[in-house]
Amino acid sequence: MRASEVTSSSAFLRSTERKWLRKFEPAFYIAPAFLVLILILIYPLGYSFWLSFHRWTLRDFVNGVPWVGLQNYISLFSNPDFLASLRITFTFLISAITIEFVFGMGLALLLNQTLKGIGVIRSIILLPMMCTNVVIGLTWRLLFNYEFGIINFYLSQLHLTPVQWLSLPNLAMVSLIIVDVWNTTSFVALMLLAGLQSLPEEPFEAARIDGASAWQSFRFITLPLLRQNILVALLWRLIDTFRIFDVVYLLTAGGPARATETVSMYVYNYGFKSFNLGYASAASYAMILIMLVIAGLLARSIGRTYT
Amino acid sequence: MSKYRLLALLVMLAIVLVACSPAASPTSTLPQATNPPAQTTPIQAAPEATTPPETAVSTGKLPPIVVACWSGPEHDNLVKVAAAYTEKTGNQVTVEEIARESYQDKLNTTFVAGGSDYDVAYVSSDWPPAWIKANALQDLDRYFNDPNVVDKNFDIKNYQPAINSFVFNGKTYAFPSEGDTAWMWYRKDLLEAKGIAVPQTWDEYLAAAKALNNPPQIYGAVIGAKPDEALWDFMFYLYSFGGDILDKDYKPIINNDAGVAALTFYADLLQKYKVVPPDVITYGYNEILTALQEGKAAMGIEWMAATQTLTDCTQSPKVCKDGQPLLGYTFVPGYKKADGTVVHGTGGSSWGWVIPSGAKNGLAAYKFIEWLTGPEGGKMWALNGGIPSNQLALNDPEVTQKIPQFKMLAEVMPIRHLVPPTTVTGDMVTAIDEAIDAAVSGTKDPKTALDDAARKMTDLLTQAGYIK
Repeated sequence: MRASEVTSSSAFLRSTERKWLRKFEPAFYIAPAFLVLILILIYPLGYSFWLSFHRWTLRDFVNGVPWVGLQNYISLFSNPDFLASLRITFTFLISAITIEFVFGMGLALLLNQTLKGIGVIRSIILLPMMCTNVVIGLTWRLLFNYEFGIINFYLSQLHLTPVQWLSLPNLAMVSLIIVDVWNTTSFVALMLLAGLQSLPEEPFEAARIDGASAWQSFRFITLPLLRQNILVALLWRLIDTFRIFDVVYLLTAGGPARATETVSMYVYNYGFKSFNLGYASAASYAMILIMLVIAGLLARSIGRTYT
Repeated sequence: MSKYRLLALLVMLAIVLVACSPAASPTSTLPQATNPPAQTTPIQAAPEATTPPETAVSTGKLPPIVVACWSGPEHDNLVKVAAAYTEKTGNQVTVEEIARESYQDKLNTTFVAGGSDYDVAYVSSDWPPAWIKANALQDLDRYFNDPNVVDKNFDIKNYQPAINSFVFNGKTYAFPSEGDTAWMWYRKDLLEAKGIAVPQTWDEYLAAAKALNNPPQIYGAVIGAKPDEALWDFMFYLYSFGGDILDKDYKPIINNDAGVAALTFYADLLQKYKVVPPDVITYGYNEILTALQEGKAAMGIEWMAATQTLTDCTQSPKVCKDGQPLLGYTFVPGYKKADGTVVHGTGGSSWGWVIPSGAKNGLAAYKFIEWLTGPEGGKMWALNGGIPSNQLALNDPEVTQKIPQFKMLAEVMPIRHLVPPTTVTGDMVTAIDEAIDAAVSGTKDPKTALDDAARKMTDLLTQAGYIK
């Protein structure tokens, strides 16, 4: 009797232990990853959001970080320099992405052909995408150098006037666009190529039978069917281009005369040069908000395409 | 099976707990970032400090240190001198080179976060005030006032007057190393060929630049209006035109008549006279150096730190003939006012070695900078192209014989201006850089650009409490 009591008691314990294990075991396994995530992602995000409502400057943060409410956001949107950086960012973004999509589509159509050595060509075209932005920035800075750059060298060989790629306000923006187009057109091409290769053959055959021209097939069949891929690539490129920093920093540092000061450069200058972290955090959140609105609209379009 | 699961869970829990536990206390008793800078704490009980310093230094017992230095001649010099220190003492020194453009930002971020990346850093005299406010620097008094630490031959008077640039609230935060200024560099052969005397005033400088201007082979002059370095070139024009950044009450006066005249002259070299390379808006210290080295500019204002590079035929072969440098140097020109009087003034910078609060090996760091800026290290620093601030090194017979420019430096010291050190100097410099950038690129006229800068500076100085 006594032995059976012990047995039933230990069975009960084992069963409770199993239930407890079943309930909490997964939490223990994911805990390290979750803790790391909180530390490196959620905490900084939350802290910078908190900072955006406070005044934090290098010279007085040891005396406290006072609450300033929406003051940083109000200052931000009444600051002509921030509004100028928004305008510059959108000019850059619209110009670069438009060119990338035109070139990317052309490349994707070319790569979609069954030509000899197309695999090698595809690999070569992807090379710019594999370079790090720091290498790209430094290399193009040398290429664009007015006195010693290879581009001006060949222009002078052709008896053309050397170009001040990085020292004239308007041309500096053009130079940035050239670099971005060079760097990411292959990405757009890759996304569109994936779409092209998944298109069904039937609509094209029907169009051919009905006597549609190549342009008509492209305009009325290829483009509508590629809509989903185009939107995904567009969303990706918008997010990526909106936060461009390293190439701008290395090529122009936002100059000349702030002509290429994108929002990221603006945030960097306030955050890490002036060490006005409250204000810089507000600018970062304004950036995120703007991007969220744009990305949300695009995501809805993508969703509609799916349905 | 459940036993194994339980065991696995316990191991996992142990790992998590170990990972989340606080780090072991540092063995050093050196001050932490939270200590106010004004506090003087003698070194006590730390293992590295209990050994008499001379013994520790001479027997290589001090822990290794990491020194931050920006790229350029100072870095190249430091590598050589640090190697000599290691050879002499056995104490390891790692020199970390950081690009000039991002150097101050990198130090700002590291110091304010209490980072322990560096034990020593090379800094300009206008940077420490903000760091001191943020408790990010160790004062050096705690070391040199401790008889167990300080070298028996140490005398702070030997650093006068340069060390005054690093004393704040009665505490010393750096040992000075470079008391720099700039010279006007010119091509001796080209001036001689045209029969032009070495310019003494800006009018003569402009006339010579026009005469020597032959683009694209060679430009008459060169300036460096790169957005984040512009003031460090323009300052020589500003001060020599009789201008200044702030008055004695911290009110911005950069936009007064002298300041506007200086910026107008500076911008006109590109916009009106076209005697400088068209892309000078992307030029900083390195680009001016390259333009002079490559024979692309006949004249220019360049820091004296570049002297060894520009006068060494192995480093600058294109501006040498028969083993002799073609580049000469003299004082920055003066400004001839309307009444005929000539104003003289020049700019400069004072650099030194600081120990951040987060330094892991403060004592080793101190012993290194004490030696580096002392008579022995200072002499080596000078002979490798540096400009020591220690009087014993500056007056060393070998140094004075080999480096005649130190005599010139002594002459300009009374008229040399430094960028005023305040807690908002970094932001003020940015505002002035923007003004120079706008004027040189032609997007604003000099007066408007400087007025805008003065307005921003007034706001900054008011917020920081300098202007009531």
